[in-house]
Amino acid sequence: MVAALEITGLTKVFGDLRAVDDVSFSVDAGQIYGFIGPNGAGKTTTMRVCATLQLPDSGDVRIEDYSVLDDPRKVRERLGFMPDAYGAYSSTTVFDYLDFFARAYKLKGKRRYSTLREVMEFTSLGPLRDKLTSSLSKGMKQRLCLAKTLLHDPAVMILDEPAAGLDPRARVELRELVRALAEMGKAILISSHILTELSEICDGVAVIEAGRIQARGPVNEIVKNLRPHSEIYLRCLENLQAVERRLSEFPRVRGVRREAEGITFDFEGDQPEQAELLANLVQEGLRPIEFASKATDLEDVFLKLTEGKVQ
Amino acid sequence: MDVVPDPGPLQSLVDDWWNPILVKEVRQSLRGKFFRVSFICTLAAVTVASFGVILEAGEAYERSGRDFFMAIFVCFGIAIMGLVPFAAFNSMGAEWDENTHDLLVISNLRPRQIVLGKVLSAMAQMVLFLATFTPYLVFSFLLRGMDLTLLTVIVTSAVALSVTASVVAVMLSTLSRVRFARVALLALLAGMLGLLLVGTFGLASEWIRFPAAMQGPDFVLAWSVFFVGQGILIAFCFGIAANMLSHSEENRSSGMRILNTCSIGIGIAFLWYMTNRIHDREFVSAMSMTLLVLALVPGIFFVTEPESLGRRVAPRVPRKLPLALLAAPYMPGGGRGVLLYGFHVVLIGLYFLFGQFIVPAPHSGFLGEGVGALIIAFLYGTVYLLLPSGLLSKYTKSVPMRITARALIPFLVLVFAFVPSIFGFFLGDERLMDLEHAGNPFLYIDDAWNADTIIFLEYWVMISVFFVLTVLLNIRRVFASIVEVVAAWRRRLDIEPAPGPRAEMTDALADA
Repeated sequence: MVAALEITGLTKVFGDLRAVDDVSFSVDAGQIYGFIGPNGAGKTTTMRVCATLQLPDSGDVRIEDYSVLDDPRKVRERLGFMPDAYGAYSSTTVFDYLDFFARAYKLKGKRRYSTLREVMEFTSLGPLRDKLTSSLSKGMKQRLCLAKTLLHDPAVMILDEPAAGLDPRARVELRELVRALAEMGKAILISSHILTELSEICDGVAVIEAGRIQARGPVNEIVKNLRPHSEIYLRCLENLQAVERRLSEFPRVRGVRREAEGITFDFEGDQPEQAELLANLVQEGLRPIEFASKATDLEDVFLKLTEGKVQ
Repeated sequence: MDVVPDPGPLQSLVDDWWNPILVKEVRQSLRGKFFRVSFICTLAAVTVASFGVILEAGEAYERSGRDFFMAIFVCFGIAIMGLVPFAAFNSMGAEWDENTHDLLVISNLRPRQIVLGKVLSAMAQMVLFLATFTPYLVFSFLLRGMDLTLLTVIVTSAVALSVTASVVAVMLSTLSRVRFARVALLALLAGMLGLLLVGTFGLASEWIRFPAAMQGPDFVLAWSVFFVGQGILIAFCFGIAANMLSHSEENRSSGMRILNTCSIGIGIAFLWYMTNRIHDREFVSAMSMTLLVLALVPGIFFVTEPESLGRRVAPRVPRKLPLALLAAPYMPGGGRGVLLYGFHVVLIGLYFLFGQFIVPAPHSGFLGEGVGALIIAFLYGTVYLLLPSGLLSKYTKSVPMRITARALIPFLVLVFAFVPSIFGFFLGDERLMDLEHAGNPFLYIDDAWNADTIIFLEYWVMISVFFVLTVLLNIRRVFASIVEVVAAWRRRLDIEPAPGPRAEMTDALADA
């Protein structure tokens, strides 16, 4: 099956700067794919090439098998792009703004009106119909731009920093909207600096730094590749020294270190083996009351993979 | 209440056919400050001016139609030839300033629809001003002193100039999104509009004072030249603006090339008609030279394009070889630009030769006055156009080199004309200092035109040698450009099965 969005060997050079260097990944229909990297890593350039706004120096991007180089019009019909710095016309109401883009996307007659109705309902913009776009809050502006992006029912959506500057409530609402869109079968490529947000909704991520992809794939797989061992925190009722000594004797246990009330160690085994270790600790009478595998999240992945290089 | 109620039957009938940009711009204008304030100010100014003229005329107010009209026309002119184009410039510029340009580009709107929408919205404003001023204009006619024809001619000319100025303003606005450059473009526009207003007011007052100047066939001809010229200018500016909004991989060239040929064709048709009326060989030579300029100036852009067809154009080469070869001069690429220039020169040459036939031979023989001047202009023009572009043709793929090549062509004219004079200054050669050397085309064009100065043979030899070198320099790329078209044609035949005539026609139309 053809991927909804497929980036192959994408390279974009500005003078001496290789803003994007041989980037490849793909996003399937119904998938939410996070695109993370420090500022200036090449995220926006990649997204702009995907949106046919910039030409690659080499490589290609295909949206539902249409190339941005050969069929930009077909690509635009299938793509919804929400740029990081999007514009809202001055002296324009919410309805006029959406109506204009609906016309621009060649929606006619009753279909245009029904689409406007659906999109405004989906994004909860109905009550703000006659408000000037300039008077909207940041969150509402983001909704407006998302509504505009949805007008032509694109199969692929590219959202560049949609959560930037939003308050926690607006972020949660946006996350729900994105999730609902993925459930509708849309392929979504989303970039954000708020990694906790992304990790909750993304099926996969691509980490980019200095124009190059550092890692890509499902979040848990990346985590697994990055850290083959898990970090475990253990607290027992028995004497800490005894626990420490006993733990060091177990196979696959490394780097035992004492913390305030417990012990942290690295364990080179999978989850069943973790369970086995816990059973052994109980059997040996160490009386564990807390045994927790510290989760490696997207933030750890990001920090581990990137060095904050600026090009 | 329904957030978006369905449209009524009449609304859905007419609503969909408006240009989306026009709808948006009109809605924005009606809510925006600029239009409201400028509209009210203009209305106030015209009312004050009308009262002023009436009060000034005193009891003779009944005969003050001309003064009244002029006062109204100044306000009207500033509104439609000043404010409207200025608003059109700002409206296009706002797309960059408000970050909405990207959203427009990725919508289904074609660049030409965007430009058309901007121009139509300027026209909508102009119509609104016209409607507001109409009662005042009618009143100026009722006061006597103003002929209805005179009034119509002046107002129609102003309206036409307003449309042209708006298209030029939109075009200028698309040239750069850099703020500093935009300020410079705005200053350029302001200067142009200032000159336009002064010129129009001057001409209108002349016509009002001497209405007899507007009678007779010559005026009709001049007026038609005025409209044809504006039509060509509008077409070029429109094309440039649409090109500036297009994706850089799109075929930005073919439309402009067709437009260039059309403008030369229209020019020839019009001049043919004029030649039959005027019967003057000097006129034929002068007009041929004007047409040559029309081939040379757009030619600067065509001959400096990157040589390759581009991956979006190559698959659209016509499937039949003769058609592909005929279409070659209209496909992008510097070498094919040279072909197009050659084709235009042939067209101009044909007009010139046939012009010699239909005008009775004067004492000077078969070829009349200005022939030498035309040949010299052609030789110099070709050398200046094709020498730098031929030398830089391998590098025009890079944007800075392309801009350099384009700038070099007019720059070389100045360099060749003035650098020898500087040497002349140091060498103490007065002829060189006085720009009397082969690098100065204007001197020899002028000499040849007046036919009273002998042009030395060595100059003819020098410029001819340069011309031959230029042709030799460009032959290879012209040949390569044709070979590329043939290769693209062959590739297309290999990839796609032979289509029916309908598909061929659809393709050709899409290319145009």
